[in-house]
Amino acid sequence: MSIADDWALAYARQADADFRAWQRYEDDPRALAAECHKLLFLQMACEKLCKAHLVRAGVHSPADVQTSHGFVRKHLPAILKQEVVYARERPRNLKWTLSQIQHLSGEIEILNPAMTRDGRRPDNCEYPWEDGGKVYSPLDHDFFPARLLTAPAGRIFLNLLRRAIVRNL
Amino acid sequence: MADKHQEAVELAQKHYAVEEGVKDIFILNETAEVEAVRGEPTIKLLEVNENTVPSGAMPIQFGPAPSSGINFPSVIVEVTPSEYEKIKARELALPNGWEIGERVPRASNGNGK
Repeated sequence: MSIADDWALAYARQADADFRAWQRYEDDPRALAAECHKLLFLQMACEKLCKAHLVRAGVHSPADVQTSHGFVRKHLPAILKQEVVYARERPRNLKWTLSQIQHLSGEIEILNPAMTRDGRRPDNCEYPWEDGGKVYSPLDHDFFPARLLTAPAGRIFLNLLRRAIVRNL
Repeated sequence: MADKHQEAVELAQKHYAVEEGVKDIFILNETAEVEAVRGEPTIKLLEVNENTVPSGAMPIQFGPAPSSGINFPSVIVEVTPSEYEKIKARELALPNGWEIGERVPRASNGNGK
């Protein structure tokens, strides 16, 4: 294995651990202190999966990838689309599902406090933020992905995400 | 023995079939030196996708998936139509040693199959 492969595997293992932490909260809501924690693990799993695929390509250095964010909106739809290609059966209403995956990927990306879309989306699942002179806490916020993930396209998203992570281990 | 070019074309058609937003796909070629560094034959596709977001030419790599008929690692570079125009005008760079090769047109039945 090349050093890029080693980095990719290391990122994939972290993604797997983050996803399993998310799953743990999903399976046992009583263990959950706040919904934002659960989403934080999902966001981290998605980011690390994208980084696994980026470093494996060997074009960007692990150091560049490590310190950057913002890969989820761009790359997660392509990664999950590849899982659709691998699958024997395609989701019904594929066009709608892919559009929802694209939308969810963008919303999950901004759960990271470093991603604010030039200040237009300060909401994140880790730190309080100020908007319009009012301070908001992630503890009270109704995060869009939390709702979308329970919809049929959201369940497909999670299924493809899980498969994509496992494929990298 | 698996044929990398044939599999590249098949993978491109599968991508066309899955997403309507993919408007064009090209096989990317590498110089012999870059390929030697990579160490294994790899399918590389440049996909012009009107549904992706602009971020430059950032390749992501997938491992082989023999059970799905993909026996080589594959690298995908997704760009917007506007980014593709910039690549052609040499205003946006592909990774060192990579260049745009053969265009893989969408299969005539329109769904990539």
